[in-house]
Amino acid sequence: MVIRVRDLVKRYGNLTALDHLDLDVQAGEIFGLLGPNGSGKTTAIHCILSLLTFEQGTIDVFDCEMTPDAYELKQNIGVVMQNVAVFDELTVYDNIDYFCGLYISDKAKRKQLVQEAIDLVALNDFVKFYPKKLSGGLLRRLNIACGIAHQPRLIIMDEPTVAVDPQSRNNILEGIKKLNQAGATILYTSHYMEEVEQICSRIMILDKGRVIRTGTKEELKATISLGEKITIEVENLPSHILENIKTNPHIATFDYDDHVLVARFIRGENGLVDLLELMNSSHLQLGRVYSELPTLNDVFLELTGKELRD
Amino acid sequence: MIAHILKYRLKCFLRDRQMVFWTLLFPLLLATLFNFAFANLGQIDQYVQAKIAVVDNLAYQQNLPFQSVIEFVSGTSEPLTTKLFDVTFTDAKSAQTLLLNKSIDGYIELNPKIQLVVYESGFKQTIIKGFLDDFVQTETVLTELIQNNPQSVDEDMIELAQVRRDYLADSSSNQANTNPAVIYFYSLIAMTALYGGFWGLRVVTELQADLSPQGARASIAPVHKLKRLIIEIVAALVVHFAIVLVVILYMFGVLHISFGSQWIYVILAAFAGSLMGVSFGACIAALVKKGEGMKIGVLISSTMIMSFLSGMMYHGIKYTVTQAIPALAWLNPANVLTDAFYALYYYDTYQRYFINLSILFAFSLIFCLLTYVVLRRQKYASI
Ligand SMILES: Nc1ncnc2c1ncn2[C@@H]1O[C@H](COP(=O)(O)OP(=O)(O)OP(=O)(O)O)[C@@H](O)[C@H]1O
Ligand SMILES: [Mg+2]
Repeated sequence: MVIRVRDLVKRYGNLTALDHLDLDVQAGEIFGLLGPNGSGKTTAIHCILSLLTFEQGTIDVFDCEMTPDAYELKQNIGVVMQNVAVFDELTVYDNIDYFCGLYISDKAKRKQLVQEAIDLVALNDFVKFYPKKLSGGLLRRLNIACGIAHQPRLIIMDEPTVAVDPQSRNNILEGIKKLNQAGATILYTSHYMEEVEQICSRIMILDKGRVIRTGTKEELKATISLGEKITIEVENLPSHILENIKTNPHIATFDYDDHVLVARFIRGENGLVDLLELMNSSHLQLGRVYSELPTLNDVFLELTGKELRD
Repeated sequence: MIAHILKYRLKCFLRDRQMVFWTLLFPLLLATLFNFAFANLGQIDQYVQAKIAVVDNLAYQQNLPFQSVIEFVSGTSEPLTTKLFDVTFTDAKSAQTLLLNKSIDGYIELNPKIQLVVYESGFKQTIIKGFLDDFVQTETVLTELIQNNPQSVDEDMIELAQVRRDYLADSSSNQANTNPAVIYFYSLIAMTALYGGFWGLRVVTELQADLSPQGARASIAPVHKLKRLIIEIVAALVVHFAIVLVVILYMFGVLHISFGSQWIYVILAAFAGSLMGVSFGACIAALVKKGEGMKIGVLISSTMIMSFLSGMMYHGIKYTVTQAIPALAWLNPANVLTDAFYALYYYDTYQRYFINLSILFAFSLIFCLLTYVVLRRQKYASI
């Protein structure tokens, strides 16, 4: 087990930020910690890294107790913090080299690692820039490079891709996958469910410091009652068809607004064909028609009664 | 690893333009102002030894009291520097010539009243005149003394001359620094050294996870905290001491302030002061909780109070404190630092100076250890 957290309780005054949290990250996996703002992701990471005191619980990393002076453990950990932590007086290259050098003494090896990190976050054109001259997204990419350049066995990333544009984000996610394939275990937090779905092998959904559910994305989706969501663009839907839909036992919820019909089927029922036949029988002109499988947002919605996204 | 961290921290600190600018600019500005203000005061060390001629005529030969006074203040029995006057005995003609080609500041001729002849009026001339007026004022008394008790003449003369000399040559018995303005520049160097506190503050801020994201990163790095702290303090000290050196060089090279043969001691004291300043700032930053603004506030106000109590703003305070509460004087690092400089100024020996320096190094050690003790408890209740 790379990370093992048991019964972790962390309070800030009266606020319980982590409520008896259990968490296991196994070697070789990309573990996603998914939760809305304030759910306790960052707090959990800070506890794991022994930066925060906590009221109760145990934390082991690489099967050893994590403490502030567990320097051998720290040697194997790379962290991308939620807050950008770079030095304004150092260039992009120097920043990465500096942080990498805290872990890697060998100069030649460091040079190569720094270059790989620069490639990963695609900052080649900006190596001589000072952080003040970087845009928000570029700065985030530098922050990532500083955290992972030494290519540790365990990488912990706290919402690393906030403010990063889609193309660079894809680059970074691919890079993370590569680091993972090269042997790194990754703990990844985000409130972007697409990201988590795209790269994580296992996901934990967190809300108000409590674990809602843990599993692969398929497992998570299988736990909820909703099935596919069907969207049909259709003008002037006759009332008898609406009535028909309302009484269809396979449809959990539906909504017709602005010429768009959204119907959610309960799990296991494939109602697209039925629905289209119903439309055809009334010779309705259909616009776009598409079907979506449930997302983690749906999972979150059903489990907590609120949206994951703001 | 050590060289790596040192190299990049030096780079960071040197490029911290704002900090370098302010810690450098303010002392340079003050030094320039001081220099301007003390431009006239600077002449004191030249007049301390006025060159005079005494016309060796019959009237002089007959005025025994005056003769003994002149002999005393120009006496060969004492080292040259402690003499008030450098006296040449000559005839009236040559005295005039000497005065015209400015070899002397004035000459005294008795006819038989004592007369001072000067060519221009300046500080030295005022001193000579003051000396003569003083003599004339007491002449009556002296004459009586001579008539009643000729044996006591010498002693009384010596006493009289002694008082005058002490008054005039008060500045120092120490040959290197006869210029009283130097003491203000010493204070300024001490103040610049204390600015090191800001660097110490930065060091600690960037080492603590609850103070900065950089601190969080430092806390998760596999580098021992004590090692890390020492390297960072060294880097800050190097940069800060360089700034202090620039200030000293400016005083020396541009303002032509002479520290005499003591420049090496001045630099050593500046180093000890810089180390104390940096570690003091680090310690304050570590001990004071509640945000950066609070830390800066406490640092500035404590430095101000210490400087004030050490007489850097109003000189008299230093002696009041030293006399009223001696312990406070020794427990105030700023006072120990200024005292090291004053020791250079007032004393011939370096004993007091080195005692002060040892205390400064002890303070620095204590400040660093306190900082480490706080940093070592690396877990925080809230980040
Ligand atoms: N230093 C602190 N002092 C007091 N409360 C805090 C502190 N840090 C976090 N909290 C509270 O603890 C809870 C968890 O915060 P945390 O930062 O762990 O959430 P998060 O999941 O990382 O959120 P986000 O997605 O916004 O980063 C929140 O309710 C937050 O308000
Ligand atoms: Mg967070």
